[in-house]
Amino acid sequence: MSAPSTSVRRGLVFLAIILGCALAVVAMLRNAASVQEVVFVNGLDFTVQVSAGSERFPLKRNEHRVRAFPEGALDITVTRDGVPLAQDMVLLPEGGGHFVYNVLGAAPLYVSNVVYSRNANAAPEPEPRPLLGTPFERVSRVDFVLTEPPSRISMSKNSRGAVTRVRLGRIDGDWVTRFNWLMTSGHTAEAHRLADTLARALPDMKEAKELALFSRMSLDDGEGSHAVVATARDWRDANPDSLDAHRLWAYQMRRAGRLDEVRAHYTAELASHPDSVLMAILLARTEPGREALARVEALYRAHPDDLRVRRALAMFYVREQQWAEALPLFTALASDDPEYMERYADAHDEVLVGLGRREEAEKRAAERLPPFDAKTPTPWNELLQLARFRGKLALTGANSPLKQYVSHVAVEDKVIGALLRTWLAASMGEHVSGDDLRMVPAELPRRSAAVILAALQEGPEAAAGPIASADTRAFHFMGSEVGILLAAEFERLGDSALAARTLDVSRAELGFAELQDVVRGTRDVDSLVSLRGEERAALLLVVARRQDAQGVRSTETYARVKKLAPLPGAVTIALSKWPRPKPVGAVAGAPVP
Amino acid sequence: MVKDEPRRSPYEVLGVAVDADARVIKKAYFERIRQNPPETHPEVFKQLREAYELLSDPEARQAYDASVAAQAEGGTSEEDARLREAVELFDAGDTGGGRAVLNRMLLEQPDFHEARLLLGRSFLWEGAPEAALTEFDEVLKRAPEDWRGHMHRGWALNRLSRLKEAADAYWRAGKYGPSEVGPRVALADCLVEMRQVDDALEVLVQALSLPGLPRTEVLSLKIRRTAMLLEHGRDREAALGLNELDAEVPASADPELRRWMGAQVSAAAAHLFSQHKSHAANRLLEFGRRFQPDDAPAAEMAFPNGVHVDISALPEAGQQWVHAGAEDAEGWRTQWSWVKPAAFTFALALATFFVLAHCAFGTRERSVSEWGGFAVLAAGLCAATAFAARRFLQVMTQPYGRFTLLHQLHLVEVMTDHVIVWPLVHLQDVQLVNQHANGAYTYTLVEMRFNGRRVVTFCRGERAAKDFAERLVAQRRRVLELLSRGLLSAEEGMAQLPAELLARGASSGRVRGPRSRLPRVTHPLVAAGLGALLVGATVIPQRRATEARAWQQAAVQSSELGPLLKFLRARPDSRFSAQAQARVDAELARVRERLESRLAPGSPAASSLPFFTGLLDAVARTHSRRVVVDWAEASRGQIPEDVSVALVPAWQRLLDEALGRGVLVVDAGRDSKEGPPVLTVRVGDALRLPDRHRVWSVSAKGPGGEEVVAPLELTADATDPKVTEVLFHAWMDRWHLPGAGDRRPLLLTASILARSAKP
Repeated sequence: MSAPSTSVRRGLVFLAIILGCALAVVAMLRNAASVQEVVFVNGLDFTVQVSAGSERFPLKRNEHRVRAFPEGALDITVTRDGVPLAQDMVLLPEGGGHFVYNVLGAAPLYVSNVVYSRNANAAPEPEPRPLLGTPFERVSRVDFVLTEPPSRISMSKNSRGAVTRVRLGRIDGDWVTRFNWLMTSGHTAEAHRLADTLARALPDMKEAKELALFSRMSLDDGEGSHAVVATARDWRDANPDSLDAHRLWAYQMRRAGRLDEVRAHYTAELASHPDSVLMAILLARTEPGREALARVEALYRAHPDDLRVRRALAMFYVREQQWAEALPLFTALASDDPEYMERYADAHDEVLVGLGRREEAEKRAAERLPPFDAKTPTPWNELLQLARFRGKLALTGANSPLKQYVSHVAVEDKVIGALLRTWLAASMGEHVSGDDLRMVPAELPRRSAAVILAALQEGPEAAAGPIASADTRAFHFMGSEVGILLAAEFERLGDSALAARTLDVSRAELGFAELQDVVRGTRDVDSLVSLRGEERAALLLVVARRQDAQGVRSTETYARVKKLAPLPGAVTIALSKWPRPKPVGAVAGAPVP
Repeated sequence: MVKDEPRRSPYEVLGVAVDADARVIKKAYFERIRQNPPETHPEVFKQLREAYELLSDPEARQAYDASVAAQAEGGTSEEDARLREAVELFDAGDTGGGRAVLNRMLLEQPDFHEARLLLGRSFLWEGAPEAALTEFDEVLKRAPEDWRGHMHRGWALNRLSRLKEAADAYWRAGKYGPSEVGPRVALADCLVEMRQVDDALEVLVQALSLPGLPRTEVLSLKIRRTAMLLEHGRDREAALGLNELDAEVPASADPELRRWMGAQVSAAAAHLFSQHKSHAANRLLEFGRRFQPDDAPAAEMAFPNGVHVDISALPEAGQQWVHAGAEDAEGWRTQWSWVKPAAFTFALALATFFVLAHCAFGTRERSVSEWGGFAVLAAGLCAATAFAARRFLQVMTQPYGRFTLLHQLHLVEVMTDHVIVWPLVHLQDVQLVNQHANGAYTYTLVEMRFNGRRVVTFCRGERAAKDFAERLVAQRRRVLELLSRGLLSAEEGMAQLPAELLARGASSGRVRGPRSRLPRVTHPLVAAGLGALLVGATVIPQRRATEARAWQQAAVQSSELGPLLKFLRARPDSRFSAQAQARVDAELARVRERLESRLAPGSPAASSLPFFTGLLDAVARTHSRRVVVDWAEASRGQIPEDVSVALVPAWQRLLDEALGRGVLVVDAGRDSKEGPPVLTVRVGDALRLPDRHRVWSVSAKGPGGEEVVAPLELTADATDPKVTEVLFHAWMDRWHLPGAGDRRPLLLTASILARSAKP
């Protein structure tokens, strides 16, 4: 064998190749690490054009596409027929993972783990995590992007236990589904962002506007009364002919203790527009009972066919407990008011109960109960109403529509069935099964409501704990009278902090100053014109308890309570189960005055 | 030599007188072998060599002279002839014949001591010291004062390891031969064997004072003494001895004498090498250099162990020799020779490029010390990469791989671009270790020790390994022999690995060849400088990229004031500052709009609009959104609770109510990353004792310390359990802030009922 070459040039060439390879490897690895994949998803029901960096592509309805971009800022523009819908600058940071650009945040996306195991009885997969309402979000490494994961995968012989894969999925439904999901899971800011983005991008989408307002109000509540009042006022000004918009503003103003301003506003408005039926109705809502009733009756005479006037008068009669006068109005509304079932059927039933026709009310409630169908939502409130009219829950013993329905629900879904039984029993003041309660996940707001109602039976002190940690969502599943009752009682017991908080989260249409004045006895309950009968009953009950504690005669007050709260509920629970306060200095065993 | 051919005396062969000293003999030998090289005169060369070997060995020469003298003195010509016959028979290898002749002579003449001594020596040569001793005892029985008999007896006893008796015999030989050096030298050697070094040295000193000693004998004794001192670690005394010798034979002395001295020193060094006293041997050789003439090959210079010599530093003969060796041993560069340096270079280049890329493209902000650290790291990595690249180029520009060659004087390991020279004189041990794979023989490791340092090579084949080991040992023996005879310089192959080259390597560790042809950029220092420069060159672009990234991070959260303000505070002079300021202004405009909507005329807090507007102006100016609420007790211990715990969240709520969440951030004045405060509210809390009133002294100052609102003094009944709530309400009412006129608790203290509630 001869001597090999010793040329320096050859050596340098080899060296250059080595260094070149090293450089290429570094460049490739850096490039691979710096490139990020973005999944574009269109949850809207029309095609949009997406412009991201240098890429331009259409996205059809419910379509998704994956594109790769280098690290750093990325400008994304979404248009529809040339009209810009969204313009975002997003940042693709270092590191791995997937990024999701959800056009206007509309698609209801979630991330879940898919567990593959040899063991058929492996632990259940964890709950899916919804993606929040931001249009752009980073998720961990995703194995299945908007595709159905395979039912089986192959694993190596040596692997034991389970293998987990990550799936980016989408549930059926549109942006409203997602909005509701976010609201119920407590992501109010994200829900608002979603609705607000849609409302701004699609001004014609009325539902988006309304839900944006709704979520905005929920958010503003956390910032104080000035915020929520301003929002409501803006909404009112944007919808001058909407009774609901005006009512919303008035409601917020009342909660802020500024009812006088409302009255002054509508007085001025009516003075400017004397023929305005709307203004007249709104002004009447701020006036004391007789004054308001007179105004609306006059309005009715002038406009007997105006649906708004008829509705308003019917509800005023209910407020004044003038059942006979209210009944024909409700009967007429039942025949021609498109919103009768949604808004006035319950009040109609209340009138019948007030007239002593409870069975008729119960029958009507039973007829309104939809036939059981696993695909339709459970009619929670209808079932409670039915139970209230019956006077008892009675899930054992003789068959009844209520019992049948509850059984069907339980068969279909054990957890929902347990929650239904728990909530109904607590709402009716009956025994709540511990087994049922344990079956229900603790984070469900309706469960929190049931816990509060169950604690209510023990007394106000027992309810203090659950109330202190409850939020607005729980009160959505209880009547507002619960909040008023407990807030007033807490105030009576000297815990103003808890009283204010309870009143706040219950969203009752009552100012704290008004509540304080009533509890202290410096204001009459009947002057609170916006309260329903049960709400006034709740306040009166606390007044009666104060009278008991002061050793003052309270019989009439208790009688008024019973009259205002004929059906089972929070007031009747407190009335029957709370021990009556003893006056200071009372002797044990002495009769209560 | 033919058996019946009359043998010429060695003196005749070399052409020297019978009393010629060692110097003369050597000179004659060199002259004759130059005239009769072995290639052209093999038989003559052999005779010359045999003659020189006989005469250069003092014992052998003595014995020969003795035999000749015996023949001249007392022996008849017939006896001489019969002695010569016996000697010739012994030389021819016919030991039995020689002894038969001698026995016949002794039968006839039992007192012919010469013959008996010769007979005894024959037994010694044959390894039969007991038989030899018998003969020598017989001589002494007949001639008790024959010093040669005692000498021979000592040799026999020495062979029998009866050292004490041998020492006694030598002493008697010395006693009966008062002017003889041989017995004294033998006694000294015996005493050394008995580890009586001091006594041995004393004997040599006594030998030096014998009358009539020729100068060379004296010098030889001194050299022997000095070598003994060196051998036994008595360096200081040895140094004195060497200085003495140097003074005795100065540079101006007879060149022949000096050459003779050099040869004597070499011989002594060879003995030390054979005893594995390499340090002492090298020292002697070092000393012996001064006696070498300038033009003589310095073969007897020191033997440094394990010297690295670049192949390019070898003389032409050496390079050719290595080249020829590579051809024979298939020692050319193989793929594996350059793969490892290539892999190292690749790995280091990879690391270097990663670091430089991170330096240039990383988006994290870096401090000066971090940049310094990167520069140092990059310089280090570049230097390491350059070093590896150089190594790779060195391998690629050399044809050799790794293999081993056996030189006349050294074992040479060829390592691609340099050789490692292991003098055979230092070889201490050779081990053969067979290697197996799955039970089958693969190759043999040859493990050698050169003066304590392990060298390993391998041979394919057990036979080959054995042959190599035998060659190694034989070569070492030959080297020592030549060294002892001062003949190394005449050995072939000196020019391939010159001694002065190796001596240079001994002092510096490595003998470097001429400057390499490699590019300068591969020099580690140059590469390190380049690396540091590259890092320096990335500072500005990286800072710009970091700034752009920071701006992007702030800009993507366009509705969040915090990141934008933070960006402006951190980078007031950035090229994005104008954009950031525009965004801040736009966001603040939205906040103002919100503020005006919330604090509309008619609302209880409408009067506080200028207060909040002023705050927003301060935010736009100072790029901070921080509000500090500082509560302090006027006198320690007066107030039972820390009110700041409630004040800070209460102020946060009122600011959120007026401006919206995320606009201003409230803290108690500690550990904030939000920048300097745009508003500092101070609450001094005191208890006024005479009337038991709680007093709050409230002030509010802007970013420049200016008063924003006139200070307040609020009082309330300290006995009221809700006194802080009362004071706070009064404060809100006075300043018309959100919460003014509201009877709800504003401080949101904990619920009494909830605290005491059972789970």
